[in-house]
Parts: sequence; structure tokens; C-alpha cells
Amino acid sequence: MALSGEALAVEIMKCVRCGQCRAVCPVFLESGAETDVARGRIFLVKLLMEGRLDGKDLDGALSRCLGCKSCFQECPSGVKGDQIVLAGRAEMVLRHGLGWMKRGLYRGVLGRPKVFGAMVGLGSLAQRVALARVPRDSGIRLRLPGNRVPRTIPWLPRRPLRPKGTATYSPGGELDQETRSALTQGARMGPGAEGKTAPRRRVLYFTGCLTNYLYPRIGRAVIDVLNRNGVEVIVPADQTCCGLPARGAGDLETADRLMAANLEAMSRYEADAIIVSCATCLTSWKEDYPAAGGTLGERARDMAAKVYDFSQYLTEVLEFQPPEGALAMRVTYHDPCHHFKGMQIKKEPRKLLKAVPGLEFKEMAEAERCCGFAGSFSVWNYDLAVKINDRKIKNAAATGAEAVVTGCPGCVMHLADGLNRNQVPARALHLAEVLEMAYQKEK
Amino acid sequence: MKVDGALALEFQKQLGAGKVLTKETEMACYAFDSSFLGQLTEYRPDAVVKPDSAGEVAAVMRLASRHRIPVTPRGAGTAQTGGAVPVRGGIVLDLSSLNRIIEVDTDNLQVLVEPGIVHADLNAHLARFGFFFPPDPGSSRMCTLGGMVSNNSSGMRAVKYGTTRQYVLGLEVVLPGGEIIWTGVKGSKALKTVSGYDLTQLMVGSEGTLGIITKIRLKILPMPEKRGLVLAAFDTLEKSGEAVISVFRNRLFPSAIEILDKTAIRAAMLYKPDIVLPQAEAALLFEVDGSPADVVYQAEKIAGVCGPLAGHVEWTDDPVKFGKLWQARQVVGAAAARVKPGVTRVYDGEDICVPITKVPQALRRIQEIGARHGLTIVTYGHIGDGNLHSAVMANLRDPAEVEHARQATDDIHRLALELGGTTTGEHGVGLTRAKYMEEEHGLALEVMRGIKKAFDPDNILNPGKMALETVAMGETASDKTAQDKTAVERE
Repeated sequence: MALSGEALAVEIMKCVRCGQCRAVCPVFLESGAETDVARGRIFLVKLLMEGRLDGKDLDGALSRCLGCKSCFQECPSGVKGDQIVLAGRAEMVLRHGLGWMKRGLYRGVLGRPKVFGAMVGLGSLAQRVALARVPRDSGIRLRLPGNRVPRTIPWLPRRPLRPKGTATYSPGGELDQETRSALTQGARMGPGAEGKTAPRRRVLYFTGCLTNYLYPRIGRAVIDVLNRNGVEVIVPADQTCCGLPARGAGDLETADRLMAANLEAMSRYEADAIIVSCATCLTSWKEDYPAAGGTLGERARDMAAKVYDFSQYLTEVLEFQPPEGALAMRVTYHDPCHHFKGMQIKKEPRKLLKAVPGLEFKEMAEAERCCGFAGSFSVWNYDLAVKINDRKIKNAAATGAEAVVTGCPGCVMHLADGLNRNQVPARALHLAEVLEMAYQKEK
Repeated sequence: MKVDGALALEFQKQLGAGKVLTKETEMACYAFDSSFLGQLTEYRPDAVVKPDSAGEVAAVMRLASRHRIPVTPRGAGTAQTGGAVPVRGGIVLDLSSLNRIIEVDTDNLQVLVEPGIVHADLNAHLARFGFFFPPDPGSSRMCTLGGMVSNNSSGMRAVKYGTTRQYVLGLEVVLPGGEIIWTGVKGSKALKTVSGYDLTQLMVGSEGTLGIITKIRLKILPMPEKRGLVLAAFDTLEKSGEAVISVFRNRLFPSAIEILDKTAIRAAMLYKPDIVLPQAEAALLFEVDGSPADVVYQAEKIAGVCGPLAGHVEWTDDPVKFGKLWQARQVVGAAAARVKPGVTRVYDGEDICVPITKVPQALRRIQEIGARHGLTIVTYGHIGDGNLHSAVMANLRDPAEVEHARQATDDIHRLALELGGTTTGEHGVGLTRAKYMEEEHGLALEVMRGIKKAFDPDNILNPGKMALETVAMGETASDKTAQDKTAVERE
């Protein structure tokens, strides 16, 4: 449940307005506006809740929060600035409704897998027809309505990661055609590929929208790496958007509907764990769902204990079998806000990268600083998202890395956009992709 | 006078559209700082102006003085006194975009900066050259140099390095009418001057009531090679006070001496359980700096002096251990706010300064004040110069508790005066402590009022602060605005 009523009022009161958030808020550091820093936003929500302020400017001010939790991490009093902003947005939606654009995005597309899938399919077709002569690695950039800077859009896949029904991927077992061809391109299958071996563990994979619709390659890598570590992966059908974009926009009704659908979809199967490879989805499963009231909340709290980030599961639960293939490249790592500031996941991905033979890991300055994506923040505030991103790209480029690795497909998308915009010769990759590349190098 | 639409347009014409803010959301966010008063009352400006050169500041002041509009200069708005809050409305002059480091001249031990530069950013830049600007406020990561000069801020290392005042060599100042002057001899890079009245020192600590600082010439020092730390715990407050006095008597000169009383020790350990402090009435942290050999010598000697008085003494010059021991002091401010759920920290009575010999008594009496008003008070501070920070905790949503907090913080201020101290050691007067000005200064306040009048005859610069107006205390802001209006109309 979002903060509300008495709990919200107490949380707001905890802010002493010392201004420590000025030192860390990525939005404020670009704009220098007092409305763009946690203490300002918190005060605006206070005025809203007390009925002393309302209107379009307020909506605009509240939309300019990344939800990156930098303020929370820095705050001496531990004030949840991001949660207060969410409560403010929810109040605005209650009072004024959602607006047609947001309603279309959150309810019409993200909340409906069939519509989302069909749109990506159409987009992919359009890309292939319109851009048939453009090389795949050219980094095609689109000028979206309202954006002054053209934005890099990934090549859309023909089909999403998730097949129509529930799919099971066993170590060395049968895979559907597309996954098999993707997994075996130029490489052999995981250990025991020749004969089916009994899996050591069984997990459910919650893919998230970006992986499913835009980056199936990340999802395939996650499945492959888990398989190679002796884990059977079930991708349950009927899972849907985690709901965070809607929750972030204050559309709690949609967010709660999606949460209920996911809890239902993921509880139909017996498994040791639920694996998530998107930092944002992880926040939904670990923070937002368990905060729900009633029986749904109880169920969510039970399930949350079994939810792991991909990197956490490999390092903490499994006896990770590092790839034997050498990967001669220099990489750096970007900590997604929802990993580092939300879940304190920092050493796990580094441990995995350092286990890859031949790989040179170089830490970038301000690795935990937001990349500027923040889901729909970058849709509504792209100019600002670019400014925040440029600083991240500068830090990444300074390491001379050939790949900027991260743990969230959203960050992958925005990093790829930034690398392209700044003409930095490096790729943005998900951690799972790097591990998979190394496994594929095994002789 | 109020800034209406037409006047706002005129400001925009002078500075460009993006530098003049008037939206309601924006005005609301400039209506407070972290002071108790700012939490309870909202003081919205009519407009916020963000100049980025001295010329633009001058243009704003010319216009403002022509129309008699109050102008409140502001850095990062981190004050705990209402210093940069526009109590009479008008314009808030947000100087945080004026944040360039203009020149670093290490050979002449000085830098020239603009007032919006953030303290930590300046020191990060100077560290590259092996130099630093010594005053070290707790708000280092967000406070600006302009705010530090205007409030004569300091920090833990004031024991050895003094306050901001000692480092200000000269200032570029825009006067209320828009004229630009230099204090400390224009164009000079000398480290000393006795030429003329010392306007530089008059500006330091004037809280934006005399002029707008637009450039700062600052003295800097080479960074000490090494630092060390001594931790000593005492079973009575008196013994901790004796230890501090003995250290000075033994001709030792630490860079900082910090005290945590038992409330602060408990708060720090409650907040970060991995911090291990001895159970004691008081803990002292002595920081020493200098050459590696000197650090060892001083730390060992301080530990030796504390030995007979303390139940527990340890010292280190290992950087990692140093950081761990300092952590207790660093987190205590934050820890105070978390010591009790459902309350928040009140910034008032938070900065008294008493003679070193009176610190133990002050600490005990502050606890008594807390008990009398039924409030938790966590106290820590710079015992090396007698500056104590009391964190009064209260539920601001409970009117009765707000009233108790008001009384308790007033009691703390009165205690400081009774013990031969002052209501503020490094945070400033602003709005919060204006009511003690007469008591603290007597006739001298009249001299201050005369100075204010000489600089700012129309009282447009940060009006309503520091009791500089010769109006009866207790008069409300609206009464004064009405007065101002009539004055204008009469003309």
C-alpha cells in the first residue's frame, strides 16, 4: 500500500528540511530548482494533503522525481522521499484522474500483455520494413513527439520472450525452437546438453515487460545461465507487468490489479525461488507487494521471501559455477537505483563479473548514481533524463570499458541510448548476457 | 511593496525569463529553512530571482531599491535560524548558481570564489593541490560559502583553526542601491591589511542584512599530512570537563574536541549497532593533526592525560580505525532524529556556546530541561570551544508538545546566558534568536542598528532579522508591511 493518512503525515513531519538531499538528488543537481529536490517535493505533498495547494504545476513538480531513492539513502532522518512523492501522485490521480496519455500507457498497454505484445510486433515489422537497409548495429535513433533530442530505440524483437503457455527450460532439456536457436547460436548447450539430467533446483522466472517485449535476449541469457548452473526454469504464463510504472504515476488501482494477477500467476507452480532480472520488478516484489493489506499482502509477504535478484540467487543460494570460457574485454558496472539504494545489492554482480576468466573489471566513478531512465520519467521528462544520463556516460567512458554492464533492462536501454548519443564505442549489456557470452566461449 | 506581475516582467527583462520564478509551487519551496519557526510558519516570497553574475545582482538591487521591495539573499537554505526566509515577502535572491571557483592561488595561500560554491566541492577541488579551507560545518555537502561567510560558520575543527572569519580576506559586495564595492582593498592579494575600517569583518556574520556578497577572497592552508584520534569515556560529566582543561594545560593543541553525553552515546548505538562505545556518562573524541610523528606524540600524550580520569581510553592514527571511531560523532545528529518514533528534531536552542568550564553543568541542566518539559533531548557538541548542539525531539502535530518545545528551547537559550555564554556559537541569529539580541548586546544593539541604517536606509535587505529594526518586539510582520506601505504612500 502506498503511504497514506496518519503514516504519511508522520513521514512528512520527519523531514527537518536540512537540505542534505541537495547533495545527491540527480534531478536537483541538473536543474538547481528547489521544487526538484526531496525537501521541496515533500513540502509540496504536505500542502497538497492539507488542501492548501493543487493544480497543474504541482502535477508537473511531482512528475520530476526519478524514484531513485538517493534522498532516502542520504537522509539523516531516514525520510522516504520517494514514497512521499508516490503518495502525492496517487492523491493527484484520486482528485483529477489520470489523463488520457497516462491512462493509455498504464492501463491500455502495460496492463494488457496482449496489446503490449501486438504493439511491439507491429513496431518490429515497421522497423524491419522501414529500416531494412540500416545495419542492425547502427543504433537507430528516433525523434519522439515532444523530445528535442532524438532517442535510441532498441531493435524490437519479432516475438516476445514468453510463449503463449507456460514454458519449462530444463538443464540440457528440450527448449522451444526460438529459444534453442538463440541459445545455441555459435555455441554449444550448457552442461549435460546431450542427455537430460535431474535439475538441482527449480525456479520461476518473472521476466518483466522490458525483458519480455524489448530484450528477449536478456531473458534467454538468464534462462541459459540458470540452466548451466543446474537450475530448471519455469516461465509461468499469465504473468504481467509488475505494476511499478502505474504505481509510480499514482494509478494504484491498476497497480493493485496487476499485483493480484502476478501473485496468482506465480503461485500456481511449486518452486524453490522466484527469479527476477529487472531491478524495478524486484522492488515491486520485495517492497510494494509485501506492503499491501489484507490476504493479498499476506500472500505477497510469504512469496517475497522466495524472490531473488538473478545475481543474488547465483551468489547466495547457488554454488555458482563460473564459466570456463575466457572473455577478453574490459567492463564497468552501473548499479541500478533499485538494486543498490533499494536492496543493497552491490557486491553480488561484481563478484560474478570478477569470476569471468579474462574479463577486466574497472569501477566507474559514481557507479551508484542514477542513469536517468526511471521508467516513464524519461518518457515525460526526456530532456532532464538526458542530462542525468550524460554524466553517467561520461563516468562510464572514462573507464575505457567496452561494455557497461548493469542488472536492469531499463538501465540497459537508457545506457545504450546515452552511449549512442555520446558516440562512445561501448555496448550496454545485462549481467546475464556477459555471463552467457563467457559460457559460450567454453570449448 | 509586493512584486506584482508587471514588476516580475521587469525583472525578467533585466535577467532573462528562466531566472525569475513566480509559480506557486516554487514560492512554497522557498518559504522555509530547517528552523523550528520555518516548520511552524510559512513565509512565501513573491518571486525568486536566480542571478548568475554580480552585474545581475546589481540590476536586481537597483530595481528592488527603486520599488522598495524586500530582498532576502539565500545560499542553500540550510540555516536553522530562518536566516534566509523572506519574512516580509518580496524577493528571495537565490545565489546558488553563482558557484564558480574563479582562481586558486596556492602560492599566495588564497582562492577567489563565488558565494554559491558548495563547501565540500571547494575542498574537493583544493585537495588536488594539497590545500584546504579549514572550517568544517556539518552541512559541508550542501551549504554554500556565501552562507558560511554571512553566518561566520565553523565546525568541529574551530578549536585549532577558528571560524570562517579568520579566512575571509576580502569581499565583493553589492549594496542595497546596486553599487558594487570591494572590501579588504580592491585588487589586493595581500594576506594582511589595516587600511581603513574593516568592512570585511563587518560583512562576515551580517546575515545578508548589509549587502549581497558576490565574490569571496579566502585564505587557505596546506592540508596536514596525518590525523589521529583519541577516544576517552568518563563516568561523570565533570571528569570529561577536567580532561579537556588538563589537555590544554599540558600544552597540547588538538584540532577538535567533541563530546557525546549519555543520551548521544545511546542514540548513536541505537542507530548503528555496530558502533561500539563504552557505557559512560560522557565520551570525548580528540582529533590531532600534523606530521606523522607529531600525531603519534600528541595522541599518546592526550591519552596519558585522560588516563587517570577516564574509565576507557584508546587512540589510533590508522585511517580505517580513525574513520570507525569518528563514525560515532558523525552519525549522532542523524541518530538523534531516530531515537524515538513519531517525533522529529526541532532546530531551536540547538547552538548555545558556553565557557569550556561550564560545559558539564550545561549538559546536566539541558537534561533537566528535557525532563521538566517531558521531551527527549540529545546533546553533543564541540566541547573544545564550548559549543553545544541540543537536539530537542517533539511531535509537531501535537500543539501541546509544540508549546513544550518552544519553552524548552527558550530555557536552553536562557541557560546559555546565565552561564556566561551566548545563544549561538556558529549557526546565527536570523529570526529564531532575534528576541535575545537586546539581552545579549544592550546598547551595542543600537550601534548595530545605526550601522544597518547607514548601509540600508530603506531596510530592504533581509528585513525582520537580528532585531535590527527599531520597532517593538512582538510586532507582527503584517503590521510592519502595512507600515512600509504607508511610508511609501506618504512619499
